Order: sequence, then structure tokens, then C-alpha cells
Amino acid sequence: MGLGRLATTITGIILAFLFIVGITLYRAGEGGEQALIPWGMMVVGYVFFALASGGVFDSMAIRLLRGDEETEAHTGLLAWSSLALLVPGIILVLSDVLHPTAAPYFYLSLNPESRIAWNAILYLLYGGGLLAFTLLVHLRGASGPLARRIAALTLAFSLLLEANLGMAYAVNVAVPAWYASMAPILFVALGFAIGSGFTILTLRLAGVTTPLLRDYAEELRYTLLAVAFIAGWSLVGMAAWGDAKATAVEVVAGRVAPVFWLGFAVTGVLVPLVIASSRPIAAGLLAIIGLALYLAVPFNYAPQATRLEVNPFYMLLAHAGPAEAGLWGYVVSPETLAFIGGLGVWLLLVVHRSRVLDVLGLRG
Amino acid sequence: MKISRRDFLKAAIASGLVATVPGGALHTLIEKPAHKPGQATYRLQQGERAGARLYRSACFICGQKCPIKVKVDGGRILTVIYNTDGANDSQYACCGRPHTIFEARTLKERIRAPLAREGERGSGSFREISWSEALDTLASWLREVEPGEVIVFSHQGCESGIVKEFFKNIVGVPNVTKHCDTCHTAIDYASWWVFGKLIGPSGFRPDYENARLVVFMGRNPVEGIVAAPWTKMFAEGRKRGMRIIAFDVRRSRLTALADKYYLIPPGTDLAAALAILHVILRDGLYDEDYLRRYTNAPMLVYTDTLEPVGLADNPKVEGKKTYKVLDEADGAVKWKTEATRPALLGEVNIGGRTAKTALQLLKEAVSSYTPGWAEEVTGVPAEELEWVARSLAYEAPRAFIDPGYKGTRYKSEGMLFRVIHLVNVMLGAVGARGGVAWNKKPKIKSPFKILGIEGLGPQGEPLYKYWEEHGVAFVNHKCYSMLAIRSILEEKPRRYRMAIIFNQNLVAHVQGSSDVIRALKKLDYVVVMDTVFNETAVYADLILPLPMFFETSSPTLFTPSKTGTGQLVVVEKAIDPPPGYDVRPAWWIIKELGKRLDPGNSALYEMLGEHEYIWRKQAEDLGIDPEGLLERGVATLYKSPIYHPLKGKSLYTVTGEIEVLNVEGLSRYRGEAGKPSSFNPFPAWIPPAWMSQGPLGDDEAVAVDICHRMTATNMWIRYTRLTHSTLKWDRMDGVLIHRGKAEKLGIRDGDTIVLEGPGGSLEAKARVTEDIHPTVVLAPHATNPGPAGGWIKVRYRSGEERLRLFHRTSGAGLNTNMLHRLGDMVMEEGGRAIQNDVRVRIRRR
Amino acid sequence: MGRRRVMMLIDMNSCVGCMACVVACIRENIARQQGGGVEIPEDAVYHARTKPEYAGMELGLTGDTPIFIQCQHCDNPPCEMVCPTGATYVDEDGVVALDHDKCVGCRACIAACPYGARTIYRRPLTGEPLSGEEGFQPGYPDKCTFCRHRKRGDGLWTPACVEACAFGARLFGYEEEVLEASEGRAVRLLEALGTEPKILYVLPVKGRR
Repeated sequence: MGLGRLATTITGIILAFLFIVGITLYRAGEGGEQALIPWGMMVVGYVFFALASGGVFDSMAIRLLRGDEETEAHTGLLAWSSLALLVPGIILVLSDVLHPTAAPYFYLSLNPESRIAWNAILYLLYGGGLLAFTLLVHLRGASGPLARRIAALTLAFSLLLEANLGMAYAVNVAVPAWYASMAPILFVALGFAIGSGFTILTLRLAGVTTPLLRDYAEELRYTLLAVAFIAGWSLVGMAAWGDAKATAVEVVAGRVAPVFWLGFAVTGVLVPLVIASSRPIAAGLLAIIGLALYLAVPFNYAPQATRLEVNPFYMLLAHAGPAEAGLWGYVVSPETLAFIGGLGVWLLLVVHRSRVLDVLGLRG
Repeated sequence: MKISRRDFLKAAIASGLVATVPGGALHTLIEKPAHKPGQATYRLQQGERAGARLYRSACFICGQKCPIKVKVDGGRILTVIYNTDGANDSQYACCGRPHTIFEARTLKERIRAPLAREGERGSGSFREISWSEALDTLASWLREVEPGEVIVFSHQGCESGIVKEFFKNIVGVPNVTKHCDTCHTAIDYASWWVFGKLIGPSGFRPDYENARLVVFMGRNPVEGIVAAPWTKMFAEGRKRGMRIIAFDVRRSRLTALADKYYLIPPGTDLAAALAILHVILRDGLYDEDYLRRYTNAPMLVYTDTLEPVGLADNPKVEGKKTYKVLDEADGAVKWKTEATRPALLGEVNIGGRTAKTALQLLKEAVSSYTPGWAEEVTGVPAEELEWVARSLAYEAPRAFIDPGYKGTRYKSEGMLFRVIHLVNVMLGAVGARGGVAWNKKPKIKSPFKILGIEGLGPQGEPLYKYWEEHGVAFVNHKCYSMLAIRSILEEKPRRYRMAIIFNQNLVAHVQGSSDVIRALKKLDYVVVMDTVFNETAVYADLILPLPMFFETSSPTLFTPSKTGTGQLVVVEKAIDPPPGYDVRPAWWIIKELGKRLDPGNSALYEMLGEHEYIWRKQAEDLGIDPEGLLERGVATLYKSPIYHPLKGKSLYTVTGEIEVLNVEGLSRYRGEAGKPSSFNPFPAWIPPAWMSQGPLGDDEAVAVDICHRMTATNMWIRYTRLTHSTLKWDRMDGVLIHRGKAEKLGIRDGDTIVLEGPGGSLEAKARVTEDIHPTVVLAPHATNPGPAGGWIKVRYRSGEERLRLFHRTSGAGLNTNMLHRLGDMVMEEGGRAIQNDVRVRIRRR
Repeated sequence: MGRRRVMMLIDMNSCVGCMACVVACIRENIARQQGGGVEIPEDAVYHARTKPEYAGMELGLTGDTPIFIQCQHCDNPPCEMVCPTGATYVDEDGVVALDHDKCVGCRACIAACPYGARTIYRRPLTGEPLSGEEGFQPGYPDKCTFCRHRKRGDGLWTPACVEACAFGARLFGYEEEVLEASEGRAVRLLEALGTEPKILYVLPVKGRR
């Protein structure tokens, strides 16, 4: 094992350890009450990993379907990476819900009106498709028509899942900044952008330095532009609409503004745009960090927090109820550990792919 | 100490009473429910647990005694329901407080067995003793000391009446006092000046139901104690169109419900009231006919000596005087009884001396109290005060300023209620429908009288006689707790050796807690009877633990205090004290004490446990059907309060009329005219004490305590998590401080602050707000244990228990009495307290 | 359908804010009485299934008189719509109820409620309240049930808060009776959202009448 690989492995182990610690602490109730900000960093975490997994898969599948030979050569690696991103995502879903033993009711007692119910189905369909595709690619290669058919179907599930995750936010009439927002299309764009970042990192970890890396760097640039455009459009929409305006103000000029401007606009979009062609890996890494920050704070936190200042019912709950932890408490929590730690699971799985494949007997 | 005995036992035997005494009845904890089995059993709904039963009780958390029903099953309290009386319901209700009783039972602060002090007095160490040891000890102390060396303090609880009667009439203690001098004594004083007698707040019934406009000053019928029926009428009144104008130092439920409210500096309501009176008199907005018929407004008074021009026996009303008036019909001066149309205003020359009418003098006395002047004191714009006065006059007589409930907060308060009474008189509202009606209250025969247990009565002079000879005026002879503390401290008129304190948290309740502690430490014996540990129990030598009110049946019927229709209430035991709690009701303690001190009458004392027998006799005595009362638990005696300015007949004044200038007051205190004095026969501005000490510094405020809707005076309810949680929800789980002041002092919300007053200091939690007047710091009363906040150690037989007051909550609020000095009481008004009239320095800890 | 649906009317003219309903609700649904002791969660009033809301004036509906934060039992409940497993459902009486067995704890219902009606408590509590399985359970999004555990047979029942109010401020009954009693004076909160609440408020009258 080379030094770099060792360092990556140790990093992966440390992160995976944090993943377990974070989940354990959260399950023990160390996250505080959840009535005021019901969706915390674990939710952000599973959304993030689902988007990342879908994003890696989507680009790869589209290129494959278009007959891109270079992509076809790395399909196994990228499908594996996509699967490795979905694993912490699904673990986070099942860890975040307070009663995972009731999870069978997702399917046994499905409420078709509920976006989360559809998430459960789409996770299953996408996850199943991805797993089948990954197995197929590893056992038989990516060139056959079956692989393409599965890729096409899974691509559809993936895009639906991404959009549906966004809809789970956008149906909330009680959270003005989410309600009827751009979230579904934003999530698809975020999927592509975050996915591009992870694809670049995956290729780099696997030592691939083909022009594919540059292609993905290019893709990162225009998907980032798309994300920035939709995020900006959302803000304009919010600023024009009743109680949602408070969220727009909070994001642009309030307590979360540093995260929005420095974390998202500069780190996540501007810098990667500028350096993508010269330093694709740094650009990918910064984009991942910046977009995760965007998802965590301006997107997930700010609308819930500003609701406490505009909806009179929540105003009082926040005023007189148990102390609300605020942005700092939201970020510095076991949930965040679990979220960040999830990266360790992906890292270990990607770095030690061949060993795992050996163990699973999947070396085709 | 000797118990005098009369031959009442013989009489009792003759009446067949003793035959019903159960032989050696073991009236311990397991009292039988007083009704026949099954009679009041809750009608089970299908599928409901069998065994659920409904008991009739009354809530004793404040003094109102609202009728309630308690449903109990298997040692758990299932529901608490207001015990409605059908058609008479509009005047009764119960509030949120009795709903907390399910938590009260197992409060950490509860006293679970009789306790004897260990170590220093006040050290907080106690050990469990048996009831026989406790009672033997108490009996031996009572034999050792003279009745005159004992002071009995009795306050709340369903048995405070029999406790007082037992010690006063049977044990012979001359000094048995209630708490009104820390509650409503200024209102009593004010009533004397206008109606001729010390009348407490229960004497009046603000007729909200029929009112069109009510102004509130120093009274919050929505959150205050002893208020539920008034709250009900208040709500009913609002629905029927009653408008509300409130003056207060804070925003509250009352100001939220009010049509208009003003935040004013504490104790300055008097200035607003004087301005209202000024406008009414200046513009002639008073009810002329009313003033002529029912008041002495036309009474001619010499301006040089302030004596009535004439005073003679009234031929029409026995025992009352009539006076000279100027008859407008013929311009002659004659007796009022002979005049056709007595002049209300004006002056005449009689033998070279000027005489003016009482109303004229009153008008001149308040001529300088203009709305402009009041604006400078209160901050309320002059035109608004004009508007308030005119609105009252417009709606009169269905308009009044609320006659209040508590009156021992500020130096200015006695005069405030005098002026309020006068305003209401000017409006013709006193005795009017929709105005301030008179209450009717039935006299319930005491259990001792029913059983024929008698004593010689008090053995010696009560201590207030001494103080009355030394300048204290208007003492309510049932209420002199502060004078009693002073007597202990100063050993005047004698040395006192023993205090018996029944459900009365003196240390927390009396202005100058450190003085009270000094007084208790001077005594030889301090006996406390209470349900929970409190600031006073810590200093006891002997503690007799009482059950909660719903854990005992009462040996007497009750009437809810503050309503005009004489409702009677039965109090049954709803549930046993929790297992292992060796607590006994006061009637049982008295029964056992009586048997020890007066063994010849043991059989009669035994009868104190026969509650149903006593209730029936009491009901018969009042002419009510006992069966109906026992069946429903409530019965209403009268249809309505008394709507008549003179309470139907004649009042207690010299003239029998409402006296806008008190005839006796004029003769006693004419030299005080023009002075800022309680003795001034005319309305006058008396500044609150804090105001006389110069402007407040940046780090100074007036410490004000309030009654919160889930607290009551010093009761266990303040220890409950339910109350604490409500206070927290209301952001009152600390001391409110105005944002401006807090910013100047660098105090942030949640900081620990220190409040330093002339009599002591407190640590509290700051709650920064804009909902109070900037001059005050404010919190619910007795939410801070102060010096009694240390650990209490109790060696129960079952093991040692360590606890603190507010054990499961915080106790980071306020108790103004702990910041205050006893000596600042108002001697001119019955030696009453000025509990909120104290300046404190505030700093961050 | 075809069943009679229940409704509640709260008359804010009669309500004086005494907390009887809140404490009664805590006793019935939140606190535990067992083994001679009483267990009451932290911030019990916050967790009560009904509590006065002093910021009501912000609604522009109630002057400065509070309304109550509690489940409005919407006919078209946003919480029911987002619940993935049907754990939140509208029962035959029109009560918005929670089937604890089916609840996965995703908290979508909390996010979805515009009335702030759902609370959640994540510390341990032993035993159960008087209302049994319908009572407050740690880790579940708690809300008012109209005390439907008190229902016996087919009849109407009395919720604890209604029973506790000595001021007659709360009326509970079948839809048509409650609508009739409201005499057209009542409003529903945040009606523009299309939630169709089953709690009606009579707002306080102020000023010259």
C-alpha cells in the first residue's frame, strides 16, 4: 500500500468512525428537540448522498448511452462509486428516522400523496437498478444492450428520486421558503454538480488521468452555473413572496449570509468555475464542500429558522419553548458528525474497491 | 394553661348528641367519605374502569374556595371539574390552579410526618417523631406558657376558622391574627372613610356582568387570587359589552383584554384617580340626585373649624345623625330631613362664619389635581385622563373604578381606594346595578357551637390595644400580623414566648423577612402546621404536617369568599395522602389537642370527626335542605347581591349615609387637612414611598411582585413543575427587567442578577422585556426562597431526605418582603404593609 | 364517510387564560401518575396539546388576545398529506390521529404543520399517561387528539380541556351543532392555506359595542 493510499485509508477509517459515533449519539437523543427545526443535518446528509450518488450515476449513464467509449472503460469504477455514495445515504435515512423498525410501513401502508413515501420507493428502485447495473458491469462489462437498458431505467429512477427529494421540501405549505419552490429542479442540478465533483475525485483516487477528468471538470462548470442560476432564481422568487421574503433576507444578509456568500457563492461556485480547467481536483473538492454547505444552511436551515420569526405559532414556540440551539447548535451536532463521517464509508469503499470485489467474488 | 369548662357535656348528652359518638372512633387517615356509599359515585361510561369516583370538594389554593369535583381512581386523580350550580353558575367558576393538585401530592417539599427540630433553630435539620409525641409536646408547651404569651397566626386552608376559634375561645389566646395587614388593609381603611366601617374587598361586588365600563387600578381580576367568580363575571361582562380601561405597571392578560391601557410608574394610580375625581367635580359630571339622596355631599361645614354647621339625631333613622344643608328651594339653612332640595355646591354666611357644602370643599380640595398635574406624575396624557373621566360619567352608573382586592403595596394605596370609592360615589355607581354592589354573606355556625364546645374566651388583652394607644389607627382587629411581629421584637406590651403558625408563611408573607426571622428566633417555641416546607417552617421547633385540602374532608361548610350570593360548599376527602405520608388534618389535631388539654370533654372533641353531622346542622341553621346540599355539594342562598347605595338600610357612618366628607374623620383629624397624610379628611396626593426618596438612579428600580395566574400567596403551587413551566412559557421564570435598564447595566436575558434592598438582597434570573414600566423590576410573589434557600435535612424513620425549596424548579424570582424592612409599614392605616414600595439596586452577579 | 364529524369552538371572549385547559391536558395526556409519584416532562406547557399563544396579534386576527396553539384537526391536513406511512390519518369522527405503530419518525408532519401543533420530546419517560396509548410518547410527534380515547361506543365525548373550562369558553360537538352555536361569528386560522380546520375561534370584541 502506497503512502497516499495509506493516508486515504486512515482518513476513511477516522471518518467512518465519526459516522458511527455521530449516529450513536443522535440515536441516544443527543440532538435536542426537533419540533422547531425538525429536519437537521442527518436529513441534509441523506439528501446530499442521494444527490451525489445519483449525480455520479446520471452523467456516467448519459455518456454511456451516448456511446462514449472512455466512459465505458470506467463504468465499473463510477457505478461502484455511485453505489458507495448511496450506502451512507441509506444508512443515514434509516438512522435519522426515529423508529426505523416501522420502515416496512413505507411499503405496506404507503401514502401515495406523500413525497417521502415516493422517496422510499424511488430509493428502492434506484438502489436496486444501481446495484443490478454495478453487478452486471463487474460480471459482464458495460457494453451489452442489457447494461444499457438497465442504465436507462436506473437513470430515470435517479432523476425522479432527485426531483422527488426536492418535492418533499417543496410541498410544505407551512415553510414559506420551500413551498412551491424550485427545489425539484434545483436538486437535479445539484445532483449533476455534486456528482461531477465526486466523479472527478473518484477518477483521481483510482489514478485515472485521461481526458475524461477534463470533461468532468467542464461538466462541473456548467452544472455549477445551472445551480447558481436556479439558487439565485429561487432567492428572487422568495424575496417576492410574503413570508418567504424573510428567508431570502436571512440568506443574503442575515446570520447565514456568510455561509451563502463565502461557503456557497465563492467556495462552491466562483472558485471552482475559475480553476476547474487548471485544477479540476481542487475545483471538485471545493464544489462538493460549497454545495454541501449550501444544502445544509441556506437551503435546509434558513427556511426552518426564519419560520420561527414569521409564523406567529412558531414565533411563540421558539420564544417560550425549550431553548432553540440556533445555527451554531444546528451545525455543531452529532448529526453533522454522521454526515461528514458518511464520506469515510464512500472513501473506504472506493479506495479498497478491488479488495471488496475480491471478497464478494465479483472480479469479472 | 387551664381550659375553662362549662357543663356543656351534660347538655350534649341531654340532646342525644353523644349517643352518636362512635366508641373510641379511630379517626386517622381513613376518613369515610361523608356521603352514603354510591351516592356520588361517578356514572361510569361504558368501558370505563370501575371504581372511578367523583368527590365534591373546594379549592383552597387561594382564599376563594371555589367548588370543585375531583374524580379519583386507584390512587390517581383523573379529573378536576368545576362543581357547577346550574342556574347560579354565572357568578362562579374555578381557574387553572386546582388542576395542579395531581402534582401537589408528591411534591418533594411535602412534609411527610411530624418533625422536631435538631440543632440550631433555622439550621433546617429535623427528625421524625410520632404524632403522640408531637401532640404531647405541643400540649405541654401550651400548659407551660400563659395564653397571653402565645400568638397564633392563621391564614389559609379549610380549617383556619376552627384553628382560630379553638385557640382564641377555648385555649384562651388573646392574640389570634390573620394576614390582611399584608393583603387588603388599605381597602378596609378606605371604606371606613366613605362607608363608616372597615370593609374588606369581600364586602363589595363589582357588578361586571351589568357594567358598561370598568377602570382597573391595582387590580387584575383575570390573574389575581380570590378571583375566579369575578373572572367569570368579568368574562360575562366583556361578552355583554363591558369596556375596560386598565392602569398597570405591566402588560398582562388584563391589558390584553382591555380596550385601552396605560403603563404607569408603581403606586401612581392615585394621581390618575385624583385627576379623574377632579374632572368629575370640575365639570359637574356627578349624579346630583344620587348625591343628594344617599350621601352627605350637601352637608354644610364651617370653613374655619371644619365642623358641620349642625349635627342632630335623625328623626327618620334611628341612631343616625342629620345635618344642616342649604335648601335651594327657599335659600334657607335647615336640617337635611326638612329640606326640599339641598344644595350640593355653594357657600353661605352663618353668623359671620363661612360654611360650604361638603361637595364644595371636596371640589376645592382636588382643584389642584388637574389632569395636567397627573400627566407629570403618571405619564398618561392629560387629555386621555379627561377622556377616562368623561367616559366613566357617560356610562354612569354602570361604570366604576374597580374597588380592588389587594391594598398593601404602596404608601399611597389607602388614599387611592378612598378616592376610588369617592369617584364611584360621584358616578352614583355604589349600590347600582352595573356598579359596585354590596355582597351578602351567610354566617355559618361554627362546629364548636354546633357541638357545644365552649371556652372562656381570650385570656387577656390583645396586643393591638397597646399599639392603638401608641398611634396606630384603623387596626383591623382580626389582622395584625405585622404588629404582632413588632410586639415580639420589641417585647411590647410584653414578652412573647410562643408562636403557632397555621398555614401562614410569615417569613415570606410579611414585609421585612429578616425581621420576622429575628422575631421567630426570639421565641421559646415555634410551632408550624403546614403541608409543605416553606421559608417559615425552616425556623420551627415542631412541625405538624397537614394533608392537602383534597386529602381531608372539612368539619365545616364553606362559602366561596367573594361573591354576593352566599354559595355553600361541601368539602369531601377525595383521595388519601400518598402511602407512607403520616399527615393529619387540623380538625384531627384540634380534636387530639382538645382531648389532652380538656380531657373531661373528650367525647365532644371526638365529634369533630363527624363531619356530615356538622354539615347537616349548619345547613339546617341556614334554612337549607341538607339532602340537596349533600347531593350536589353546592347550594346557593341568595338570588343577587344587594343593589342599594346604603346596603338596603343605612350605612355605618355617623349620618348613615355615604359620607363624601367623613363626619367622624373631620372631628378626629381636622388638623391634618392639607397634608399628604392618611389622616387628611380630604382626598390628597400621597406619593409612594419610593418616589419621596428622589429620582431613581440608573441601577435602581421599584421591586414589584404580582400574582400570576398559576401562583398563589406562598402556597405549594409555586413549587410545582406545572407552575414553573407556565412561568417559563410566559417568560416569567425570573425577574422582569426593562430592556432599557438592562442595557444600561449590561444585563442580558438569563443573567443572574442581585437585587439589594434596605432589608436584604436576593439573587435572581433576569428576564429582559419591554412589557413593564421602566421603573420596576417585577416577578410573581414568593418565587424566591431567599435566605431559606439552603438544604433541609430530615431524618425520617424511612431514611434521611435532603431537599431544598423549589427543589424541582428554580426559585429564581422575587419576594419583595425579603428586600424590605418591617419598620416601613404604614402605622396610620392599621400597621399595614407597603410590600411593593421598595427601591432596590440591581447589578449583574 | 357519512359519519358525524366533530368540531370545537373556542370563544375568546370567555377565555381569560387561566390555564385550566392546559393543565388538564397535561394531566390527561402528558404527565404520568404512577407508583405514588408524578412524572412531568420538562417544559410541560410547551408540550401540552393546547396552550395559549400570545403572539396572536401577529395574525392580524385576534387583536392582542391569544389564540391557542393546538392541532386544528384540519379537514385537509398538511401533516396527513406528507406522512409516508399513513401513520397520521383522519379518523371516522374527523379527528386527525396518529397511529404510533406506523410512525417511522421522519418528522415531515412537524415541518408540514402551519399551526405549530406538533411537538416532540426526545428524553426518556416511564409509564404512560391517563390517556394510555393515545398519550404523549417520547420520540413521537405529539399532538391533540380531541381526547378521543374518552370515546365510548358511538357517542360524543368530552375532551379534557372542554371539561376543565369553568368559563364555558370551549364547546365540543358535532359539526352542525358547533357551526350553529358559532352564530357566524367564528373564524378559522390561516384559512387561506386551504387546510379547513375543525377548530373555530370567536374573536374577542373590543372597543365600543
